[in-house]
Parts: sequence; C-alpha cells; structure tokens
Amino acid sequence: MRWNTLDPEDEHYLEAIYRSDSEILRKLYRDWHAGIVRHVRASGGNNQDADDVFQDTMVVLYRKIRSGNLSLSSRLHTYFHGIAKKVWLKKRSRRKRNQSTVEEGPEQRSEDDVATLLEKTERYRFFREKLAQLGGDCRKVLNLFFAGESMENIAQALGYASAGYAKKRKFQCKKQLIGLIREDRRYEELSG
Amino acid sequence: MNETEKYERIERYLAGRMAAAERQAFEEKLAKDPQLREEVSLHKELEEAVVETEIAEFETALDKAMEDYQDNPAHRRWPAILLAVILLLSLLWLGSRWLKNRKPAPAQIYAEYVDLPEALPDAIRLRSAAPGSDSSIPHTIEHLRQNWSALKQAYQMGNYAKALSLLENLRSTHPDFVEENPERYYYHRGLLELQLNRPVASADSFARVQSGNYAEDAAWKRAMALLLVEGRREEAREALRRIRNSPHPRRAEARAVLKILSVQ
Repeated sequence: MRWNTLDPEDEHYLEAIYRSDSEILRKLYRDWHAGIVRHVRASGGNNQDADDVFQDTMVVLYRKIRSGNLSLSSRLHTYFHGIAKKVWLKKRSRRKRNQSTVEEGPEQRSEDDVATLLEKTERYRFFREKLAQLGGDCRKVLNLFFAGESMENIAQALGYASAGYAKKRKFQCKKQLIGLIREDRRYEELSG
Repeated sequence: MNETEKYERIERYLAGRMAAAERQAFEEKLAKDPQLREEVSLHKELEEAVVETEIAEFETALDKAMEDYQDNPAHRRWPAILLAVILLLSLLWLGSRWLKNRKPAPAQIYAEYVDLPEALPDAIRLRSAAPGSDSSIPHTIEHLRQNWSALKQAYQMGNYAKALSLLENLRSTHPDFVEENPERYYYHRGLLELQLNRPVASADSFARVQSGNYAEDAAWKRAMALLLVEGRREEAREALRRIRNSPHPRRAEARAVLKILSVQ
C-alpha cells in the first residue's frame, strides 16, 4: 500500500504503522509522546490523559492508514499532533459534559472524521473489553457467530448437540454481553 | 415479540436476509422507534467491533510498545542518573570551593606550625661554671644538674606543672643561673607554659628571650602563642611580620600563616 506523503521518511513510518512494527511504534512513542504530554498538561490534563490521547490518536491514524486514502499535506508528525489536539478536545469536552449539565459550546464540538473515528475506536474497544469479560464458551460462540459461521459449524466447532442449541447459546451469550454493556455507565458516556 | 425473536429479526435485517416487505415494515418501525434504532445500532457495532481484529491487534502492539518503552530501565532511570550526576558534580564543586576557601582557626594554625619537643636537652652549661672561678661551683653545678635532671624527667613524663615548678625553684636555688642564662630560663619556662596551655604567660616568657640560640625559636613560638589569645592576634600578626621580614629560618612559614590570617 502507498500513501501520498511529503517526505520519504513519513512514507516509511506509515508503512511501519500499517505493519504494527513494534520498533517504530516505540520510536514514535519516544519522539512524539512528550509533545502530547505538554499539550495535554497545558490544558488541564495529566500524564494518564496524555497516554490515552497518544494511544487513541495512533489508532485513529492507523484507521486512516488502513482506509487507503490518506494524503498528507504536512509532515506526519504535524498531522499526528493535529489529530491529537482534536482527540484531546473531544475527550475534554466529554468530560466537562459529564461533570455538568451545561451543553457543549460550538467550539467544543468536533464533528469531523477524527471525532467519528475516535468515537468508533473508544466504543469498539469498550465492546471488546466487555466481550472479554464473558466466559470462554460465550466468547467462542460470539466470535464464531460474528465471523459469519453458521449455527451448524458453531455447534460442530464447540461440540454442541445441535445447531438449535448453538443458536440458543448464541442468544444467551449476546444477551449477557449486551447486559454487561448497558449496565456500565461508560456506555452512555461513549454514546454522546 | 419476545427478546429472542427481536434479536433474530435484528440479525436478519443486518445480514440482509429479510424479504423486501418485511424489510420495509422493519425500517418503518425503526424510523418511529428510537429504542429499536439504538438496539439495531448496538448489534451492528458489536459485530464490527468483534470482527475488526486488525485494530485489536494494533492496539495490543501499541500497548506493548508503550509498556516496553516505559519499562525500559535505561529510559526510566536516565533522568534520575542525570540528576544524581549533576548533584554529585555540584557537591564536588561546592566541596572544592569550601576546601579552597576554608579558613583554619588559629588553634589549627598553631597545631600545624608549632612542634613542642618531647624531651629537653641533656646537657646544661653555665657561663658561671668556668673551672677555678669559685670553690663552691662544683657543688652548685652538681646540684643544678640534679635539678635539671629531675625537671627533664618530669617533662618527659608529661608532668609539665612539676617541671615548671622545678624550673621556678631554680630562681631561688640558683639565682646566678637564671641571672646569667635568662634566655635559657625563659625559653624553657615559655615551653612549659605552652605545654600547660597557658599562651599568655608563655608569650610573655618567650618575649624575654631576645638573643642567643633560643631567640629565633622563642620569637616563633611567641607569635604562635599569641595566635591562641583572643584580643592579641594583632600582636601575633606583628610578630609574624617581623619574622617574615627578617632572615629568620621560618620566614616562609610566617608568610604562609600571614596569608591564611589575611583571608580570615
């Protein structure tokens, strides 16, 4: 996959991020994290917030890279920090909204693709976390189901007596998963 | 419609397995029912969240990279190491400056520049003891020698008070000796008084030694004794200046001590 970049080094970084290259990820964390920390701390955040912003920004960037239509009109570092600022703005406005009932001002709204990708990233991560809280059997049933496997195949893979039983288990597990999601207050926060 | 049926309908809708009429009816209901819309959206998102394994894997890789970097001992320790090095260098610098600017107390200067003898000389010669000058002289000389020997022994034993007492006795028992050898008498008296930590008396005794073999050492020891006396340091400086400006064998040391005193 190729991306439109201003600098060959950025092309190299995008390629490495696409491949989840651990060495480059460490290097980018080393080089870029301090800037995020400065920005977040300057606007009322702490180091944990900065870590969250760095991680979510990186995932948003990864999603954009995978979409295949990423075109950089600035250096990757600048682009990354631009995303990070939006990510932090979104997180901060959500936090403020949760702390009071005051409506967001227009300056706090960030309705661009970064906000959408961030929301998706956070919600999907939250769902996966809840899935991981299910028993092993339930996780397997739902993984196979969401992967598009038929009830017959699920029954066979998990040693169930019938496809009907697999269907019943799938319903029970999905209901349990949705219950776990709904009873966690983060679900409402992430829905905003 | 029970919950099982509701789940199945949502799943069939999301999978595109509804007939056109059923689909249309379902979408009409969706348009009117926000709760159902939220439910459908949740089912859809759940499926997407579970199947986007590459994102989950990327997040795991990113988590690991961040943890590796944060757990790297060199990375975590280097600020502390740098701080420790800076602190150590600062302490060394301050220590060297302190040593350089250290102002020794007069007592330290005294201890460094005064060597008191461990023993007194054996021989004692009297100018009045010239053979044939007086018939009683041999007896006197013998008595004096005995007294000196006792004084010397007391000194060697560290009994300086007794030694000083024996020396002072010479003034009554052998006034000629004291009269004819004042430098010897007062030099040893000053020495004993120094040993007894009586710097004022010692300085006064040494001051009386103005000539002879003991004069140079007496001048030095007087200056050092005066250093120990609060209020007489200027006298000590003056005595040292005189030594420095004379062909005294300790003039270099006098210069050094004056230099030390000048920064105090």
